[in-house]
Amino acid sequence: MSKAWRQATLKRSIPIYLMALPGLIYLFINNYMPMPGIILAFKNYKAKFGIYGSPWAGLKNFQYLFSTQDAFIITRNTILYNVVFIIVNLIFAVGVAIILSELTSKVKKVYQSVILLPYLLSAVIVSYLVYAFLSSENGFFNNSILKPLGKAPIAWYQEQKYWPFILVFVNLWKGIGYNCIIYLSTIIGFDRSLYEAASIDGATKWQQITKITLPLLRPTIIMLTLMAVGRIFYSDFGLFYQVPQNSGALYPVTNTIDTYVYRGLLQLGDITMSAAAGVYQSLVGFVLVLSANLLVRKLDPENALF
Amino acid sequence: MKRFLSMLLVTVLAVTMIFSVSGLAVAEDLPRLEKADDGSAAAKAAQDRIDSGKYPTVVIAFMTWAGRLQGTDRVAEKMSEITREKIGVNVELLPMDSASYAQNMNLMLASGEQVDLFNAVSVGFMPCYNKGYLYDLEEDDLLATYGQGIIDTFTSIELGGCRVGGTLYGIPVKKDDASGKFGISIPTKYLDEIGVDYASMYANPDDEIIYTDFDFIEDTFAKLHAQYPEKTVFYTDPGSTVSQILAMDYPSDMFGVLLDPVNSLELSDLFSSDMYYELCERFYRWNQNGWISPDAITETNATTTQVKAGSLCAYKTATKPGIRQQESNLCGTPVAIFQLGPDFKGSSAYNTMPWAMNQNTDDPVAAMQVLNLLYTDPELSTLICWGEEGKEWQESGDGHIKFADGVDAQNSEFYNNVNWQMPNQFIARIWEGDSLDLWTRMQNWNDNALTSKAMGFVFDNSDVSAEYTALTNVYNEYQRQLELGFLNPDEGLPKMVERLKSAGLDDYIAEKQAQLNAWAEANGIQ
Repeated sequence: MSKAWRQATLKRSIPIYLMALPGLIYLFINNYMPMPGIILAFKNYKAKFGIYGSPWAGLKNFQYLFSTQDAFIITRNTILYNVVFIIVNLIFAVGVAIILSELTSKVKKVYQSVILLPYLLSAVIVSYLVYAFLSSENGFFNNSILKPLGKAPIAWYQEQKYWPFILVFVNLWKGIGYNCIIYLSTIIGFDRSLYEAASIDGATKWQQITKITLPLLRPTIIMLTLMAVGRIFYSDFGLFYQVPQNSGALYPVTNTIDTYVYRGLLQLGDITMSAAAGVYQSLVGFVLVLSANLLVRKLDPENALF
Repeated sequence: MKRFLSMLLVTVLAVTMIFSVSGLAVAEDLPRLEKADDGSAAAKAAQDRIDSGKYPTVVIAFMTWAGRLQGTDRVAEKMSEITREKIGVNVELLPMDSASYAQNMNLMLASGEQVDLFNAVSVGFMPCYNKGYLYDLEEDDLLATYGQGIIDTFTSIELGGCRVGGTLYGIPVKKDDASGKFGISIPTKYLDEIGVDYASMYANPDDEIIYTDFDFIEDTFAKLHAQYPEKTVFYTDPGSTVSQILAMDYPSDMFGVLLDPVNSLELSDLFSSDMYYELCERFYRWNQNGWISPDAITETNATTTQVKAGSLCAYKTATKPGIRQQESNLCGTPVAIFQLGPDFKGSSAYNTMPWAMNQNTDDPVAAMQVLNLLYTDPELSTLICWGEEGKEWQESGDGHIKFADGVDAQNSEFYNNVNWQMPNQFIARIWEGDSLDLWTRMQNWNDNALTSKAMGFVFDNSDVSAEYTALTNVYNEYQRQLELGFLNPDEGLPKMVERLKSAGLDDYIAEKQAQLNAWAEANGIQ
């Protein structure tokens, strides 16, 4: 590689780096600068001494996360819901992206906007939309479906068994518009000549999807899934706190690490304990991403992230 | 023999005195903190500031329902006119919306922004203490020298409610310290409709509260349910159900309470008590009768909002002098107040919303002198409670004050409804609608209520915070189901108790009891 060539590449890349600069600065300010704050998780914070001057607390701040039987339930809920979300969202997002890509342009825009809309709603509004369906006294299900069928009304906010399904459905409905955007934009970028060649050779639409679209999508799917795995220890707070209306009867199926920490610390207001929860979640997420990537590298070295 | 008798008499007297000191007796002869001097040091500090012409600014933060009020700076300037003249200090007001008050205060206190005095409501007194935000108000005799008016306003017992580990971190607010347990408020129009003659039930014609029993209330509820099948008969705000209904004392939280607080300092588990079972059992029955809405478990609207909307007939409230007027205003219709429990003053009466000083404050002396003035200067207190004369309010002619011409609750620039949070509303002017002797009656009410022996005890739970988090999560899971009658207490209650125990309830209570015993010993309480 000659020096001149390298310089030419650099010159060509400068505008691209400049374009990335605001994003990188944001990333640095938002994600890297607060990192020393991790130290808070190991401190017994007193405002008088500041963050660095406060006395050390060892692992005491982590204790509450593991000290009860709830620890198992919240960890189980967080991981299982996220695993289901990853699988279900992936299947539907890819499916919808493929369907959208096959539509003609005008209708496509309308559909795309319509399915994106729920993603833009705040969790509080979503929770009341759900409430309009599920309210015991005035809800749509109890009044307009169960009653005409002659069935007894259901106290939705007290019955645990329905909620895993409700939450998966709400999460899918809310997120699908956003999740499919990246897949859709990738599909649109594929070389159309491949499809033309395929159809000349007599391939059906289904064959085109399975033999061309999906294999080409694989790297994107793997990358997005890896990123989702990294967040498997976090839960969507709005979904698990607002949508079940914070109903105590549903805690066994709706309590996740985030809601547990929130409820426990709401009155205590202890920032070191919430910092500890954050550190714990990040650490496990970090380990999971590394191991998932390791697995991908073993099976399919080309598509590993790093 | 004679000598023995007199000795006995003296002993009895001494014991009675100790008991009265411990919080059961009434005003006048109660102990006050000692002052450092005759007030000359404070006067000198004020005069020095005035002479130097350099007036420090003291920033006062408090919570409002409507964010920053439009007239804030104008009122602050009016207040500064008084404080400049008297103590050579400017004041700045910093009202913040209830929704973000706790968060903003936490950020300001942690980041070193200037805020000198603040009300600990919503931020929480103990959380503030735990994070080290609070200034020791007795450092270098600060209170004894510069806060002598505060010492005259409160007994040392009342101030003791804001001590943690013997150190004074706050000054209580002058307010209703006692509360009437299990009050029930019902709009009179509904009572008239079902033919309940409540008017004849007042013990005295001037009374505002009707003391009655459960038979009457349940009979009334049944009639209301028959008359208005489409309305909800009863609702209780879950956040305050236990605290406003049961006459027990819960030092700092519900895990470990004094079931017989007037006589004993022994902490027990509330949830295993008969008292709690009866409450859950009663509400379970009420729920079975259809008196509680099936949607109550997810209800988020305030009780009075529901009454205003016409969907609710009766709700639980804590009573106090002025309660009938207050609830009628909130409901937009006259109500009758019934009370089923005693009047009671718990250990937290003085530290729910104390005024505190930021540990980071530049000029503690100036801040203390401002606080002192807020407790003692009627004009200043009226300004911070009601705003400026001629702009927000005017004389009504009979000793009350009322809205200034052309001003109402909607367009007033300083009508904040948070007088209960201000240092001393007892010395401020009285608004139309409340009786002129409201504060005298309030003082009597405070003085005559049953008082917990643990009055003034504050539990520092930082050593058992892991247990606290676990306990809170378990209690939250069951609270609404049990306390709104959705779960049969015979089945649900033992389950909750079992889970609380495995979450460390016994250890938590033991720690609280140890601190309580140490506190009692330090304060000479038997």
